[in-house]
Amino acid sequence: MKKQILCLLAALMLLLGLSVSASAYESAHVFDYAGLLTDSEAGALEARCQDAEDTYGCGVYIVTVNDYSLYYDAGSIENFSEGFFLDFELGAGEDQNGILLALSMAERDYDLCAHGMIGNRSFTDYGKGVLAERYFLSEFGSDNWYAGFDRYVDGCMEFLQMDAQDEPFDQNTDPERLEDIGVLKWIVVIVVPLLTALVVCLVMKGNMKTARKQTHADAYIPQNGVRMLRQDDVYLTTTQTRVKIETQKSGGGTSVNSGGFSHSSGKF
Amino acid sequence: MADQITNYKCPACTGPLHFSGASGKLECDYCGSSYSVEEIEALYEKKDEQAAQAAAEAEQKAAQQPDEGEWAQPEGADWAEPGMKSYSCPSCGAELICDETTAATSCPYCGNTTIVPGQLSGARKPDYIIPFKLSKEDAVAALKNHYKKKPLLPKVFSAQNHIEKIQGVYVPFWLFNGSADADIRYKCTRSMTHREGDYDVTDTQHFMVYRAGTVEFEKIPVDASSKMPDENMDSIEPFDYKELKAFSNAYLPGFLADKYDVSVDDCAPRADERCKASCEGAMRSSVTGYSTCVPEEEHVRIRRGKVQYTMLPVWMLHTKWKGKDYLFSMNGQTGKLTGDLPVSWGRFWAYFAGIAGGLAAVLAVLLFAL
Ligand SMILES: [Zn+2]
Ligand SMILES: [Zn+2]
Repeated sequence: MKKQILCLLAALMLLLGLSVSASAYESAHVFDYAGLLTDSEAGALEARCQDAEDTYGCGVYIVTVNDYSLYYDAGSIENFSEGFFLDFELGAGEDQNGILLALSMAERDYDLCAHGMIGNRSFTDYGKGVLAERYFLSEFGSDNWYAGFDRYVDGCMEFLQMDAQDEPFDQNTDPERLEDIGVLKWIVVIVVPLLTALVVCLVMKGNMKTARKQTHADAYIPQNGVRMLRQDDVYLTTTQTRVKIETQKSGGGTSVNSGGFSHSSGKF
Repeated sequence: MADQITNYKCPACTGPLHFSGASGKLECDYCGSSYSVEEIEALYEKKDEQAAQAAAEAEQKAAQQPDEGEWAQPEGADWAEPGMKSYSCPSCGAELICDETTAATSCPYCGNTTIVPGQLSGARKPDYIIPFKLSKEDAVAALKNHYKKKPLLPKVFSAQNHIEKIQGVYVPFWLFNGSADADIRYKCTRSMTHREGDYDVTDTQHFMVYRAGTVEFEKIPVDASSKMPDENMDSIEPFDYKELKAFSNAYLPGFLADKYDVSVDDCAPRADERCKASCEGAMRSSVTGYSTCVPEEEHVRIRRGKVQYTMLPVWMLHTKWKGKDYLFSMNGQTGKLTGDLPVSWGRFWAYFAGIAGGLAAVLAVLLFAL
């Protein structure tokens, strides 16, 4: 009974939200149901998103809600963004290429959701993580909503640009990571030889010292010189520890689910 | 005992005999004859009897010692016999004993060349001896070998020290016999890990492990010479006690003997320490099949037994280098050699730079060029 009421309420809110946001500008890419943006901000973002879609053939979307769980029976924010994507028939072209950033304010959840050939190719698993960390998470963390979305659109444009140049953003094309690896290589070239040389030289120096005191008298225990008088092993108790296994993604690429979506989600 | 003849003369030419480690015989420098110790001792029949008696006495005394309490040292006979003389080193205070025919020219401990001859008195005669088995040539070769493959050794060092001056010295040792009783409680765990879904689950079984037992020790050697660094003597262990003989002056010609100047009581803590550590080790090694094992409560009681005064053969060379003393010692029975060597810091940093530079170049090629 309660659930039905909740569903009814959700549908109502969705309708309400739609009617509200549709008023000031033509909402095709930016759906601000949580009311984080002013009309002019939403309008500016809408224009940039449209521009990205026109240039690269991949829709860039923003959706904000107060609580994703009130929509589509969504058990997770991933479910919500997929539901929203399909419900609103988002995506450009036959392939429904798109990248969607969903924010849910109740628990401060976000999800980056890509769809379609271009979407999944431009926004790899690694790329989505970078998009979140380097572009918008810090802004959202301090409640700078417009700045965060603006940075998000910046990132999308850059990623789509790289894909258009046949070099989609991924682990081995990320310029920052390549730079880090370059620095790492230099550290290896400098530090490893120094440490190795030091160890080798200290071992050689250690070999110069052969006179050492004996601490044991094992050599002077005669045969059968050890007699054991008591050997009791008493079992006390068993304890258990559980450690979550961290699954590590290796290599690059995008893990696309059966619905054709790929995600990267978390908290902001 | 006063009529004892201790300087062995060659039965053929009456020249002085000296004991050669390589052949295990007494050799004559003049006519080249050689005799086994037994032969000579048979000739000096009284001597033989004496030695046998000394051995029997030592064994008998040993058998009478109580099992616990203080380390019990047998009261030895007086070593002052005709034909024996002593040298003392004014520089380090070492007092060396040798037979009449042996001339000592320098102190084996400090290298001082003005050692003062004197009359041997108040020295205790050792109970046992292991005769020299390796010759001076062996010792020289071993020392030369010791300098090899030491890239950090200053080149001048090996050139400047006079390896030929290496001397054979019977070093005084107390051999400690006894046992140790241990009663130890350990806390041990055994862990097994398996996977359950997204979790690694580790089950740890906890045990209380009790071990008690007795460990016997035979003849733990502790050098009784204050001049001899303990590290040097510990490092040339072990000696093969199968060749332990009742002491006889017949083994002395050609070598120096140092008389003890550290008492049994002062040496005992080192023997106790080693007994204790080995006893704990023996108990610990019987605790198996656990992934961790921590001793919680330990009781080790040492039961002190007899102590034997013994001479062990050591080839020694003392060198000074840039104001520092370097003492090399080689086990005169097994050839095991020890002695710290000086480090050339110039060579140290040259090697450091060479290794670091070379490796950096290789890594740079591997990481950047490939
Ligand atoms: Zn002769
Ligand atoms: Zn001296």
